[in-house]
Amino acid sequence: MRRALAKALPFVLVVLAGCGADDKDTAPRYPIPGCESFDTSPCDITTPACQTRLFELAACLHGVEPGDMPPVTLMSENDFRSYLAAEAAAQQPMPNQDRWDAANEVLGLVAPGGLDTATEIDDTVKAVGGFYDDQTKTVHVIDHGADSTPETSCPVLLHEFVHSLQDREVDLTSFRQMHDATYDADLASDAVIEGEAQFQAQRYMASMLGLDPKSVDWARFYAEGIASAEEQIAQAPSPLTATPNSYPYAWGSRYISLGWAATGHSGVLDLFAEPPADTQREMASVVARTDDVAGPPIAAPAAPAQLTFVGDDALGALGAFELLARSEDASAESIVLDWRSDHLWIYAGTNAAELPSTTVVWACDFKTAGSAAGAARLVFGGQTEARAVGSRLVVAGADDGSSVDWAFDALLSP
Amino acid sequence: MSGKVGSLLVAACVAFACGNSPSSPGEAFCKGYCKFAERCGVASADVCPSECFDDRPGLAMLSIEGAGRLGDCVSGFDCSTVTDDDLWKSDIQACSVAAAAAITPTPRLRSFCTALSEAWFDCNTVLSTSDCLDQYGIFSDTVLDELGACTEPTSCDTLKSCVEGVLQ
Repeated sequence: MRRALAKALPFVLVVLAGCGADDKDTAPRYPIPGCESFDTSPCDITTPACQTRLFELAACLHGVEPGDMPPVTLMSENDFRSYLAAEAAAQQPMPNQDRWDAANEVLGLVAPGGLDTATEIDDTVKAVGGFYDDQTKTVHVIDHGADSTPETSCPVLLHEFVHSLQDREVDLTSFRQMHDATYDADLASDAVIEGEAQFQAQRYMASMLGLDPKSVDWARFYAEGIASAEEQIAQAPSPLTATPNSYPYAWGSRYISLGWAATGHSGVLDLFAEPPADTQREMASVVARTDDVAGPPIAAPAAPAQLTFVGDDALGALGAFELLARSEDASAESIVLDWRSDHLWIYAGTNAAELPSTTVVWACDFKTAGSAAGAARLVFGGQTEARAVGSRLVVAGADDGSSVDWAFDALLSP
Repeated sequence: MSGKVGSLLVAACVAFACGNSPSSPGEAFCKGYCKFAERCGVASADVCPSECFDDRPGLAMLSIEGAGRLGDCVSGFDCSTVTDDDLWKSDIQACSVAAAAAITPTPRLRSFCTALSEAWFDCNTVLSTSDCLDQYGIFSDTVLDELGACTEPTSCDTLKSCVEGVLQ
């Protein structure tokens, strides 16, 4: 599945308007547990002293010796736009990209035109506070003009420094390649990368803002962050492009937080060695990390001869949420936690007018028949039909309106 | 978002005519305001003070010191603000921030700001304690007490509506 063009840090862009000189900044600043000796006050990230302090703090929070600081650049929005355009131009198109795009539109995961590169670049420029380039090993912070203040930029820089420290230990490029077999696995592993960086930035942020990290209601903090991310996904015209900018941060940081007190840095390394294979595990981990509940894989249906198999994927619990959430029904969240297994198949065909057509079939097994039936009721939008039998849900549709009964027959027969 | 509420409210308190309840903060503000009004020919010295605080009961939400500093700032306004509503609002907002920044925070204000910043943080919204001091420093203790009650943990929607309710 298509990913956003760059890594975002949406949380830190939720900021107040600028407030002038900080001559009132004499309030006590509470230290971060474990890194008590570090000054957490906001600073001018363009200065070497500020960068060094934040890098050393990032290393302390992550739990390693700092070593050499990576290069840091401040990038204007225009430069970032050019960078993204060049990156998009250099990207090899995915085989059958047009069929994948059509399939996502049939499912309602992408609005017509929602995968337009220029639109995606504009959205990315607005949303991203900074990024770590694991090819050049460079940290980039985006200068958003008046919206960039020390209070917004420092957590961004610290977040990206954590990525540079992760990269030093686990090689982020290889890690991503090892875990991108499906949309579900890709999101789940990205939640480890972004989740840890976001978690450390949040610990820093509380202290930077003058709050005592020990008195913050972190459970509520994460619950509110996830509720807000769920709303963002549910209301996005193209949930598929909105998710990578919210899921890894909101759910990932909570997942990391749940094990941090007990295992700290070594626990994070364990997660990099063996990340959760699916998003259900991260989504269901609310007060403690849960076990893997994934069920057996779902066998592909036998498609009619006139259809050609194009590709397949697994959407996972988060993908299921994308399909159900636009119903704005509160039960969507609990239903998708009952996810056990899913698979998506895409087929190409030719309709009566000899124009290309795309057919998409998604089958999902739930823990209970009630959840499958509930999900069938909530699948919203797109050009699909949803049917549930027992604990299995099948959603299928074709962009030329062709019958997909063959898919229901094959996947829902006892 | 929420952080702007305080400053905008001050603009509303000062800009719009309302009821009839003169107060000490009103007098403190109007002393400065009338210098501006007389200089720019908006009001005469004999009627300005009473009209000023009669027309602005919202000033009672401010502390005496805060209202006085705000009035001092307004006294230096350019006369073009009389006819330019947007300029008036933006200048008042700038004055309210400057006035709050010049006030030494009381322990009560500091404790309120810790609670409010923490409450917003729990709701994934950023308000540093120093920004809070700048934005709420000109309000009276009574208003801070009312706002402080909003920070008791309930829900984020309740926090938002409670703060907005107090400041309206």
